[in-house]
Amino acid sequence: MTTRRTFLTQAAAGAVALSFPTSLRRLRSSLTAAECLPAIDEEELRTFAVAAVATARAAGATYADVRVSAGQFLGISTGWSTQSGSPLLPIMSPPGLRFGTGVGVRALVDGAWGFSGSDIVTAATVEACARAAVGFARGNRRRSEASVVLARGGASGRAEWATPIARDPFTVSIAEQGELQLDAIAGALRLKGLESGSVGFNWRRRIQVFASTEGALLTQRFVHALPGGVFIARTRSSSGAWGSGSAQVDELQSGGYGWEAVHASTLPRLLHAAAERAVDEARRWAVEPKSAEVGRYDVVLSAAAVGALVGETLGEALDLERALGFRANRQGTSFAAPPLDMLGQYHVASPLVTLRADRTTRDGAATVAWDDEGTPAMSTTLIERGVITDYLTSRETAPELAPWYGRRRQSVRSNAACRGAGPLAPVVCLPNLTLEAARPGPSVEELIATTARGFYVEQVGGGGDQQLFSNQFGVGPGAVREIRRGKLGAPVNDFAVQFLTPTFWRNLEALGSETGARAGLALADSRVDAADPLHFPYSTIRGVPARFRQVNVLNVGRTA
Amino acid sequence: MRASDPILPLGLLTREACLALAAQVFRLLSGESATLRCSSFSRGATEVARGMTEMVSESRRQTLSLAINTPRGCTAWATTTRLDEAGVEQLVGEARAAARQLRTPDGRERLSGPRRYPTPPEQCFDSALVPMSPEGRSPVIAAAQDAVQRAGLIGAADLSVEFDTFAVINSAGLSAYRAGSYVECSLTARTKDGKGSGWARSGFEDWRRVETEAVIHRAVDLAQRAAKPVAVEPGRYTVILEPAAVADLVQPMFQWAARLADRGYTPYAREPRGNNKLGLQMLDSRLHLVADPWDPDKPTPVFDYNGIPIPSKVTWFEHGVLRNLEYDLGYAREKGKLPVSDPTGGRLYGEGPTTSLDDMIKSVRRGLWVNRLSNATLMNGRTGLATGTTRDGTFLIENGRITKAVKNLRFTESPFFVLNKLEAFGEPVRASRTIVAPRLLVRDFDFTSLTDAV
Repeated sequence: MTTRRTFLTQAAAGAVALSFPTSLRRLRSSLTAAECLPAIDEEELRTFAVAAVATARAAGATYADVRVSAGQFLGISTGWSTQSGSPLLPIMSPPGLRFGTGVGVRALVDGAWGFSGSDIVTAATVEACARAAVGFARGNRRRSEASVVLARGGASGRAEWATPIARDPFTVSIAEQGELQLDAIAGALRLKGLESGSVGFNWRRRIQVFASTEGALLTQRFVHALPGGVFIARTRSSSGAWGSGSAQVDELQSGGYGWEAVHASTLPRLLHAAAERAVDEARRWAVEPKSAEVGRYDVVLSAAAVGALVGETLGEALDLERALGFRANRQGTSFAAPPLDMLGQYHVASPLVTLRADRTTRDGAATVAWDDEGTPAMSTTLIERGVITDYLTSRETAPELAPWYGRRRQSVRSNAACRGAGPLAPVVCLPNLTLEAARPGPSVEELIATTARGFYVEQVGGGGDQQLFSNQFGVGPGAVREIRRGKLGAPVNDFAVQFLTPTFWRNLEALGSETGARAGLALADSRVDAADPLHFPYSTIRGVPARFRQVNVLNVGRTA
Repeated sequence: MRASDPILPLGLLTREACLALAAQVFRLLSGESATLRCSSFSRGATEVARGMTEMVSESRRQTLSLAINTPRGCTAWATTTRLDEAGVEQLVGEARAAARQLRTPDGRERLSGPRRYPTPPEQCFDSALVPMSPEGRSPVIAAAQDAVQRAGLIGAADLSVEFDTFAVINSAGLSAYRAGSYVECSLTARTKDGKGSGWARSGFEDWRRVETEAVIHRAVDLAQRAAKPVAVEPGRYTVILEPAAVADLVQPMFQWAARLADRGYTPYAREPRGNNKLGLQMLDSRLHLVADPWDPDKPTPVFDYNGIPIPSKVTWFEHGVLRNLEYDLGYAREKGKLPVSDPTGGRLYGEGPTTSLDDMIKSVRRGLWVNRLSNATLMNGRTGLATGTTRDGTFLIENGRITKAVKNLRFTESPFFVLNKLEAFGEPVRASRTIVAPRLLVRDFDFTSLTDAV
């Protein structure tokens, strides 16, 4: 076994080619990312935004909005691997530093949109974008009589907001961050059977200014954390069979957090727990592999798996742009259409299901004060006791639901679901989603204990069709186990489930309690590069464990 | 500027601009070993939804990425979108600061010196400049809207043009530059009751080759014929897969890294661990898969991300035998192999007589014609088994003729299974942005369930 001490010894002796760093604390430099990266001139961003709006208005826009953004990204990671039983050697990757800027101007002329964006932000490019957007809109006169009418509710006046954090990670030295990773993994790497893995921290710090012809001048300062890690293990049983296992580092806080997302006091324990899970999984696989038996079974899903399915099957389907056909030529449409026939009528899920969308949750990945159309953040109930009660809307699409809002005596307004910083046009994306827990409700252990025959699934991956109606989700090696007479049994290989979205959710028969709830991240804006300093393209989805009746289980292990 | 260099739209980095940026960077670095990568991108698009022009847009991006190699064998990176003098100075400062943090050699290949590059295939940037303006795109958009409206359908369309440039310049004298364009037109036409849908796409580097009229005609025609679909039982069918469907299906094949295959992560892994399937028969012996910089239907780049030339075509499969995997410089050295780059994309084709669509249909007693697949998702990384659904045009073939539109079906298949059940193939055509592929006639294609999604 190789310990941190032996690494240091080896490094000093020049015994290994890829040596462990000498103590990072002794480095000559202890720079922070804030000192390395260009500073952001917030006042300059506001000046540009105001100028863009003035230019668009002068050029003839009946409405215009502008987003001027600047952002910083810092990525620090440490990986380790072994070949043929050689010692695990942690290697800290070069810190990734990225700086970016962007501007996007959207203009309405005679009810038609034009948009122009650039990631070069100077007085000249901002003005050029504003003129181009108006020019595009003017040329885009509607061939039909329909034209864009924006819902009310856009912000006006000058205001500011910042992600509430305890400590800015860009002011923590890069050396200290690397040292924390190396210290935190030292214990975990003593476990036998680990083969490779990594731990990483990604931080974003960005400022976004929104201005509109309605008089808004909004400044938001975001800080986002995306720490993560994975352990991969490979062990051999006494019979000589090999087993593989992998485990993500659970419970790390991702979203609107600062340096506090990675507590020095808890990180080693979380990493060690993940490493143990990976090794346990590999050991189980080495002695108990079993191929999935096809049929219909009761399936207990972990909170993480339920959260993933909530986002991919229900959340995406309730995107009003999708349901109205705006994306028919790309991702597709939605089974939850036409929307006015669905609202208040359609039982998309069991009465146990209440789903809330919001951009106000503290620490959420999609939490804002205003969305990228300037609408104040809010909370919306999308599904109430199994019935669809709202969609994710923009200022352009919300008026489509006016009859429904009228019957409910609600004002017609967007529920702040738009994203589009920098040179990207605003579109509806998943906000934070919360599946309400049962009160009272069972724990995941109780759900398993009350299942006679079925499966327990920890994680899922897969997808639906172009209307998110028919779905097939597979399960990674080791993430599913058999349940027999209320007890967890062998891990199962080649397992997948196939279902129709409404049938699946209507067959939810038991929902877990708040104590079993867990928040995870989902990719909400696929237009964005994972290390883009201008965007944090994720949402926080909070799921709870649940049991689903009679799920169609497939075996995907065939080889011809 | 070289004679072969294109005239680019405003905002894209020319070769001279990249060289000037590099000169500025290397002057500031004063002799340090470093690589500068300059990227620029420009996109113009018109989007139509629900029969109306939804958005006319344009966006531009430019990025500089600097990698400094320290004497200790470490590599430090920094990236910025600020290309002015102050931005470049800041970039150099960031990379130097990052370099000072590093003590662990990362095993990256040292810098390569000057290289000679084959002359890339000529691209007609002038033609692609036409749809770069909204006015240049509007006749196509108007024609699509008119055709959809006349047919009593609802349409959604996209017409987009992209230009991009990429340069790699290092302190050891390597200097590589390339520029590209891509224009794509696609249309989805749907019946007003939402029960039927048709889709078509055409995309090329050269705008003159984009078949906009054919796209409009095909999407409208398919939607009209798909108006009243009936359900058929899931199961194994003989299918005719149109080239777009083939391109969707073969995606899991494009995981060429030998490093991952040897670790057991891709369909090219072979037991015991550490081995791969190079030299093994994996597909029907009539099939070949190559990436060729001079492919007239889909040229691939003549140098890779590190500026290393790709002097000739890369043959992935020859007569169904796996001939190459990607070996980056480091892994090639470790394994004692010659480096092989992955130029992205390629041409799948059959050797021997091709079969026309009519003849394929005539040969099928009972089967399905599939226009495209949707959301293919990998279920088993080792076998390439994926699941997805048919979309925008699926028809039943009975006794040698197409008889009716059918509801969509979910498939669970692997390209490595399908390409061993090959009956016949057509002429390869540009099937997606990255893939050239023929229409295929395949037996026993596995549909595992029915879906009401349209």
